[in-house]
Amino acid sequence: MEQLLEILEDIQPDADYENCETLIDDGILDSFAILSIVSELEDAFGVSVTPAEIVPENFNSAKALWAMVCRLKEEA
Amino acid sequence: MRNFKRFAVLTLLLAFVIGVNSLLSFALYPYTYSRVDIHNLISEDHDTIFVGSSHGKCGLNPEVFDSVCGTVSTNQCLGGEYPIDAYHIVRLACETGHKPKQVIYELDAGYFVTEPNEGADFAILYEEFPASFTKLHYWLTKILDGDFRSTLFPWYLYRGKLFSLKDTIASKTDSEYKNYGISSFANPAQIYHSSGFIERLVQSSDKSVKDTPVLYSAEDICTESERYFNKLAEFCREEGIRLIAVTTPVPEVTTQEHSSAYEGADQYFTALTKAQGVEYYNCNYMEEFSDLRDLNYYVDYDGHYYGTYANLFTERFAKSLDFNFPIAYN
Amino acid sequence: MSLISMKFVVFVAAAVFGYYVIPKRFQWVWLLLFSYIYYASSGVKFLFFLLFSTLTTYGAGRLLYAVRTSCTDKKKARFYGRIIVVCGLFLNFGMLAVMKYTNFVILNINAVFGTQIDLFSLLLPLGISFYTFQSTGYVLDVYWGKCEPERNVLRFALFVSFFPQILQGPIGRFHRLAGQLYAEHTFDFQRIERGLELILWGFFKKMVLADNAGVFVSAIFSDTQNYAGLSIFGVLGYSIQLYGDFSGGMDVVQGISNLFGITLDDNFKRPYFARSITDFWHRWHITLGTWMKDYVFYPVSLSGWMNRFSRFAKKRFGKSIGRTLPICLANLIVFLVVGIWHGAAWKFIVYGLYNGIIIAVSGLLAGQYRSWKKALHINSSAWWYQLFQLLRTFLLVNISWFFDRADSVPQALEMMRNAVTTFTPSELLSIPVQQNGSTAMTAAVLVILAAGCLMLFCVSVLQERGICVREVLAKRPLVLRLAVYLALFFALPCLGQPPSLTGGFIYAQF
Repeated sequence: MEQLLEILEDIQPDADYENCETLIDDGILDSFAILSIVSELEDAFGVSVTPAEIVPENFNSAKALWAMVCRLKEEA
Repeated sequence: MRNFKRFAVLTLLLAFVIGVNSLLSFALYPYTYSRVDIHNLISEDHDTIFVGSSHGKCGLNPEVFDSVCGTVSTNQCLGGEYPIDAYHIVRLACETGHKPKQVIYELDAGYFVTEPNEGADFAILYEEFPASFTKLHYWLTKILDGDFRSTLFPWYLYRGKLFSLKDTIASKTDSEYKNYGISSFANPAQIYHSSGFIERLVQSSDKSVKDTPVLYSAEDICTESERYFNKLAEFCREEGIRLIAVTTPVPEVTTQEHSSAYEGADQYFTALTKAQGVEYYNCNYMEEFSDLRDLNYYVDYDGHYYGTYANLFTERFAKSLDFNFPIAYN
Repeated sequence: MSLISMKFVVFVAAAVFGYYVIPKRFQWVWLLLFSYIYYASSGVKFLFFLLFSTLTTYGAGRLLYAVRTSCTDKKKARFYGRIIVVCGLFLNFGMLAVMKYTNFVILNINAVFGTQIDLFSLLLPLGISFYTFQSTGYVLDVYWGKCEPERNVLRFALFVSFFPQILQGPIGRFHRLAGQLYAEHTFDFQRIERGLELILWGFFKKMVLADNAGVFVSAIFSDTQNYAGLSIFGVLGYSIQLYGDFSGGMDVVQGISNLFGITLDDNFKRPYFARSITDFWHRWHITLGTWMKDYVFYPVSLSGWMNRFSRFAKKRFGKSIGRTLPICLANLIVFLVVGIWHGAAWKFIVYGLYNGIIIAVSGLLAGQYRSWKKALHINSSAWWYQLFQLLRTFLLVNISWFFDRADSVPQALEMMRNAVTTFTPSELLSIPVQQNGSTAMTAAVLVILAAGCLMLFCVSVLQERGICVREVLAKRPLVLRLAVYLALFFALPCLGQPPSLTGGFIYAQF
């Protein structure tokens, strides 16, 4: 989770990743940022993210992102 | 109670809109000679009805035609009159009990390669039709396809006449309007005759700028124009009306400059009329009219005759027509 | 059936009347019937294309579900699934490509190889660019498990053919639209009033703003020699015309859908208030942008070969640029497709790539921009900085409009050059607004245009602040509401341009 927060801060700084649950809905993360995050997640955690996973439910908060990463690691 | 209130408001709203529209129509919609033309069409019997474009309006004088053939005719041509309009004019004459013996259709290629323009001419004839099945049919087949403003606001294409509001109202309250008088249509460039003929007068500014007519082009043929010509031909056959098609002569310099377009139009109209068993006279290619095609006889390169030459043309055309008057039809 | 024709008014009135008279469980059938009547009115032969799209994508959806549920071997299921998707996409996009781009390809082959292949006379089926996207989006959604496939072919046919949106969008999503289409709706007077309001407003934008601006745009773009000094007005006029026309059309379409109790996705969100080209594409033709994002941008970015390129880029250029470069490439591909979608001409390709390059470069330099702003102590939320962003974006967008509106790339470049070298605003008054029109008439139209734009600006500012104008109006007394409606209603004939000069809606040709 710490690593994830670091990645988020690096790609799109100045957002409250600990608490914010509307990262997509509020436009804090745009599509460029989403894909940059996915690229880093794939490198850092060895998961493979498909287009089916790119939904607001998975990206609206750091928690949701982490849940997705964990789920993908298990499925792999 | 709530619904009743809503219903009442809606009714008042509708009444208000209709009221304002009527007022604006009265104030802005001008007194056009189409009003006189249609009135003449439905109130008198005519042996011959001329339909077609502005070439016919300026080129075919019913009085001259009648003096040669001993008939009573009316010129219902109009600049902007498409086959769909001509069709409904003939239908209206029949519906109102004034079926003609023949219809002479002046064919202009420009009306077969374009669609009706949604300008001031779009509903100019429709507006003057009396309430009738023909008018309903006309609405369903032409006006319905137009901008909804043409139906809901008939005056809207004349809103530029806001500044001549006083004149429009005056002309409508005048007894001339009620009696279908024609003197208000006269101006230095033309005289409108009650037969529907427009006599063009020579103006010094004529032909100062070279105009280009809308030319025939096989790729641009408008299927709707063809369809309504064919419908007119079928209707005339069913009603026992003789349909004759004519293309009035245009200046020789024009046909020479655009020879392929005019020849193409000739071939096209020859085929179209032959398929319907309709006689066709293309005066551009007939020897008896070759001396009537000097540019000086015309207002413009497009081919609108001055009155004097229109009379000469009409006389010669009437004589060249291959039939005897009066004709008894079954 | 043109949206501005009387026939369409009668058609919608009949559709709405019948909708609330028949038993509610048949309402969706009624909509389907009217949608097919509407489509057939454009030419019965075009029904073939609509049916083809409907049946192939319906079939693909059912097959995908069958494979997913019956195939126990995950690998096999993925394999078959991929084949079904590829076939479905190929058939539909193949049809679109043939109808829309055959002649463009032939023209270019002839130009490059000196051949003289004849062009085909292909009439584009109504709305093909829109319903193809909508139905193929459904196939991909089913493939990715984002929605369940529709089992009833007639219901599915309604989703593809729903008449208010088939002409020019918005491009809908199955999971948001289907439920509404099939649901039962009770007559609600307020809903009818709100729907009619929106329709009126849409026609106002189209007839008073777009059509009036269009007169000047047509004149300036068709005579670039004589009106060289008016180039800048031409493009500004086009930005008004295109926005008024397209968003006006969207309002009409949304308003009509509202009459049935259906809400379509938004297609516009005050695009000229955008502060970057990226932001602009989140506000302009939104449903095309989101479609491209979900069905082209993400899949391309996450594809195998893009992953390989990403690894190569990271090795070569370092982590930051390395992870952004593939995204930029995918973005360029998206905007190339956007350009091609707009039409079969090089100028549209340039238009698309222009937008794509700006977004790609700003993506690559995002980190750099952040450090510059920090160094210069620029506060992003300062009013003057936001104004700067707005004006900068408006300028960039207008440059793109040159490519969109001009006849060709050379003409676009010529006009851009004119825009910065010659400026003769007084010539604007010499453009006739009708046959034999006077300078006074032209001046009057310019005043109408300015007043209309001001009105639109005020409404937009309110909307940008989250205020729903229809709701504000709903709370006002009846007399005021009626006055507003009557003013808008009579503005259409009094202040609008007749169609002889302007034609129907611009996006209805796609």
